[in-house]
Amino acid sequence: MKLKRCPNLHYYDGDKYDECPHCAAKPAAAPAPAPKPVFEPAPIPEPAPKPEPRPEPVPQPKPEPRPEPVPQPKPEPRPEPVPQPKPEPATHGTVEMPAAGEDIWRCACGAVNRGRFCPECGAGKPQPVRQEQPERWICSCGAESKGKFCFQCGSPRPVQNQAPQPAAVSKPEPVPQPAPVPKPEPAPQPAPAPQPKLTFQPVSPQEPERTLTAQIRDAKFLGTMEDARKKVSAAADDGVTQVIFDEIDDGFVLAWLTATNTSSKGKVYTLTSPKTTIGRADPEHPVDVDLRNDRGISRGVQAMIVYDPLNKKFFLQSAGGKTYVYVNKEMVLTYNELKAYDVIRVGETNLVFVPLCCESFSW
Amino acid sequence: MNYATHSYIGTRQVQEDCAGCAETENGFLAVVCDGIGSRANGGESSRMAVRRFIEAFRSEYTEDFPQFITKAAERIDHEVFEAFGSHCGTTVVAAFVQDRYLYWLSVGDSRLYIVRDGRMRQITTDHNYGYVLELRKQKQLIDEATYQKEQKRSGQLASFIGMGGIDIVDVSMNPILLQNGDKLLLTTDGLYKPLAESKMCDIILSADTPQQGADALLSAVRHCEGSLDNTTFTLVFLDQRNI
Repeated sequence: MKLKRCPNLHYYDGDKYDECPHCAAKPAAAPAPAPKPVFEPAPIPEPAPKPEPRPEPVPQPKPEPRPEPVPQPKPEPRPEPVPQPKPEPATHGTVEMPAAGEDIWRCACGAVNRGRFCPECGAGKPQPVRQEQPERWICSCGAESKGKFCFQCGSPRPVQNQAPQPAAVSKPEPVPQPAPVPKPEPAPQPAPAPQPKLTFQPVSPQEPERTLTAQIRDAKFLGTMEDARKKVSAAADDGVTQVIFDEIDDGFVLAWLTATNTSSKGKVYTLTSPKTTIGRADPEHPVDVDLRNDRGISRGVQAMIVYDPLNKKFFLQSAGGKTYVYVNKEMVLTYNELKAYDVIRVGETNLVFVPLCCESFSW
Repeated sequence: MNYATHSYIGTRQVQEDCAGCAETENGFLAVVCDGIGSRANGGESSRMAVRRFIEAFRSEYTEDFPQFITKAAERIDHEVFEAFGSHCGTTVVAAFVQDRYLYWLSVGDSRLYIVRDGRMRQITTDHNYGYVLELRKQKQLIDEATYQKEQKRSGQLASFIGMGGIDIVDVSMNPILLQNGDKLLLTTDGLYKPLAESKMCDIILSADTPQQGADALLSAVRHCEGSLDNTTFTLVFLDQRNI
């Protein structure tokens, strides 16, 4: 016989019982302050048939013989349904202050919770409301759109009865055409899609006729004039050897700028002049660093990089244009000094600044 | 080539649209331009652009149409810009038929349609701010709120001839194989805005000749209510003789 005393101050034989038999004998009636035994007391006598179609039935049954829970809100099985150790059956309205970083949510039963399940009624945390990301669809005109209407021809999206289809990239074309579509739909065409043929190659009459939509899609180039020029001149440059170094300026290099986003991504601008203008060129406003692929930049000079040869420092000066200019997300209203790897943002283009001239080197 | 062109002033004070066609041993070129109404020299721009495209086609057309038309568009853009400064601008849609092949170029929001098998399809894309917004949204350069907020300006032109450096262009790099019975419609927004695509399609399908179809289209526009924009279009019917 090993005399033990339970937290409720009952005495019992520790050899015979693992737990206090007195406490086990009156589980529900026991006053709450006891540490929770195996059972989870059904906290609120809520009527089971609730009108809302909540996936979890309300009162938590015994945890162990848990049958296959009915329609789980989440695909993964609930790992530990019970032990959310909440000492008291929680009066409605008491809100525990969450630790920083924890997200709180309000259940349909009114309880404010932190975990993935409401300890009051057991309902799962609602999925975070995502930005409605509508499925892509392909219009009869061949364009791929996301909204209710085709962004190209404006025709409305056809009603879908079947399950939503994944992105069209892996789908054959759904346009009802008698002839089979030979290949899957490529990426949407507004971007300068990779054209299979660059040169002028008329389809030979013997070639099996493709659907008109596929033909339009393959033939069409939609993009900037700069890209169109490159495409059409690709054939014309035959036989003429172009030397890449011919395009590099003769001046002494002071620094470089590299675009890290937009369609100019990867492009390098070499700074050879003590004053280099940045913006979007037009015939009246020539600009050294012409970010013409960024339509978020107003035409003309928006900023200027000035090199101070005496102190071997670079500065970014605002040109007072319509476009906002930032250095490391800080707006430039007059001027900011530029350090190596500072990020200059003009319109929507980010440019990384890399100097050659510095304290340790200059021409 | 079997075609018909109509130009209608609508309820405006001036006609700023212009259209032109040329047929040489190389093929058939149709051009439709819509001068920008909000700019002073819209009409002059469109007439100059049509004239220059036709002249270029007659005098310097080479074997490679995509290259020819792209270079011509860039040059004419600068010419128009130099002639009228920033107070000008015109859209252009050009279609070129050579044997059985169709090529096109478009800058702005004038459209090229093809009617085949009883269906009408828009080949070109409108280069308006709505298109730019869509592009920016796809590339995640703007958020949903900005996208929605800017929608009210989505109809404004984003690319045109006379801007002194065309921004967006729609050009065929390869031809489309034409079929007997295909019909082409080159039109300014004066036609496609008041008339639904299905209506235009029905009218074109029920016509025996391009002239008949063009007359019926014009009559349909005239009967639309409210203020009407300049309307100019060219309707081309392709039959056994052409292709």
